[in-house]
Amino acid sequence: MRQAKPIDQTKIAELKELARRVRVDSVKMIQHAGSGSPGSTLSITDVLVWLYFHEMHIDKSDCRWDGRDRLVLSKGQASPAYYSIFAKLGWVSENELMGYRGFETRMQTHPEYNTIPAIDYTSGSLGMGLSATNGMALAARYQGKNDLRFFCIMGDGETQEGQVWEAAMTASHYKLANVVNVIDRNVFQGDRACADVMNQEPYAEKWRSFGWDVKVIDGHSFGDLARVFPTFDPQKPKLLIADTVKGKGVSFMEADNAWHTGGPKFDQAHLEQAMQDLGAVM
Amino acid sequence: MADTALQYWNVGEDVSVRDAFGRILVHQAEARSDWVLLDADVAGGTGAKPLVTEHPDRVMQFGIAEQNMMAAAGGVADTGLIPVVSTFGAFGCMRAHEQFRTAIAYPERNAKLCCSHIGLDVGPDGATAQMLEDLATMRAIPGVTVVSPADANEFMKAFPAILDHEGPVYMRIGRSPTPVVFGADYEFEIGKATRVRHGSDVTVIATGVMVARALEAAETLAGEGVSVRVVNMATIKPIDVAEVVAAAAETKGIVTAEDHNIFGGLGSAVAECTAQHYPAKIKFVGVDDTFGKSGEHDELPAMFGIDAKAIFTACKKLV
Repeated sequence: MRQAKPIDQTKIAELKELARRVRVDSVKMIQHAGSGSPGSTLSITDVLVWLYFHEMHIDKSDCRWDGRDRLVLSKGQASPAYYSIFAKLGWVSENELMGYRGFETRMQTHPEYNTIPAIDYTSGSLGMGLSATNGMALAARYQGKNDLRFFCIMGDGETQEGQVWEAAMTASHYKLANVVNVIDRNVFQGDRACADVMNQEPYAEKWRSFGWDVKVIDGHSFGDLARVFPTFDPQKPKLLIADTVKGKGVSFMEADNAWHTGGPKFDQAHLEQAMQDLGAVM
Repeated sequence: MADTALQYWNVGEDVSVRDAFGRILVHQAEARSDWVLLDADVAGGTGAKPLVTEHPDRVMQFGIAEQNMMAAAGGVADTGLIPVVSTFGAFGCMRAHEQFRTAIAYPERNAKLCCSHIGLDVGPDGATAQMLEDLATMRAIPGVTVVSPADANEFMKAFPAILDHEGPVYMRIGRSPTPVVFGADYEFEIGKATRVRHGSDVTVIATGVMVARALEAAETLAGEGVSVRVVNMATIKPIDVAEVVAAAAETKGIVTAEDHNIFGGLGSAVAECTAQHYPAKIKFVGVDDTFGKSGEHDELPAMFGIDAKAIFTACKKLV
């Protein structure tokens, strides 16, 4: 199985700048569309940038390269960051991004397999992604493709879906050590704080008891991401709890779960404030 | 292909279609390596057990977790390997219906769903296991091919055909012993109906276990001077429009016969077809919008009006 790659401060600085640009794109896309999921897009941006620009083995010249590590964006509502990353990798045109949520666009609200070749899995119906990730890993094992890794990204509200725990059992039963499930623990879901909607604590212990090697990091720290991957148990499926801030990088979103979606309140003044927060010129 | 090694059953024998499922799985496992079976701890019930015994490397076991299994099939298909998902109808076509829709059908995955425990044919297991709505639920999903073989031999012909068909397919597996209608030389084609008895007064369009009952009813009606055409509609979707139109145009009316709720299944598909292309009189033989009950597979059809006598009566009303 593939091992973590070495990283230095120059690369980390590059990743930070990429994440900033991805956030700028995402906020502009959602504001232009009139709605979307800015809070949970911004919370997972750093992890996604880390995976696509450092951790995963991909071929920039061929997004369907058979030897690529796969990623299932189970929390499909974070698609603006996903699409922006595709644009930075040259897999979609930068010009397409503002079509997000619009008419006749490949930038569908939730990632759809048949729209953009870089998408490995249709998501958006929460709770299914880890099952699919396991299916990919099992099929790769059957085919003798033993070096591939399979990443899944889900939200901490999403794990209220029972199917997630069926999949947690499956990965453990089959010792799918090449499966890495990342939980974007931004502690909020659509309505309010996850713990108030349906308490899942003790969270890490649940996953451990299901047979996963669990690590908890600051999901906005590339240093943490660099340190954690080499420490995983090579025999077990890997659960990375990324502690994140919903709306990370945009001042008024970080403080208010009402920015779970955008809506009419996302006016020009808010956009200007967001761009200022993200160090972007309008 | 090792076709010469495949043993078919004799016409007229009573055979459970799930025996055909086990036989063809083992045969196809030896003939090709491009598919795997996904099971949810019901291989003994679906008929897949011989594959589990003889080629365990071809089986992915998911335990009693059908939603997980169905979404995993979407992932399996991502690699180019064909997942053949197998469980009971209620679980595959309802419990995991959304997973089939979103993880398989919508992304147009090359995946197959084969479900046993459909219709009153299930027998003693009763209403929760007697899936009478599968044709309706699966037919409603865009792009899904829906197949309902009439007997063990047709199932064995249909299975390699659905593996070769690119895209999502749902196929029924019968459970109770059912008379074999088709011989070893029968050729199955997706989307093509088969005229199993020629006739000019009325047409029975039947599917699954109802084909043998339709033939029985047609024989009785012949004794009364009524000439009945019997069509085996093995593919419910896409339906063979030409064959339905021919029945509407050339005979006085159509009787549809299915081991399924009269809403949403074969009868509805035929009615949709005639309404658009050639309006015709139709009588629906099927379970009349109710749930099943425990009982033997040869006791329940009379109770619920899906036996040969019910087909006989429906035909008489049209001539």
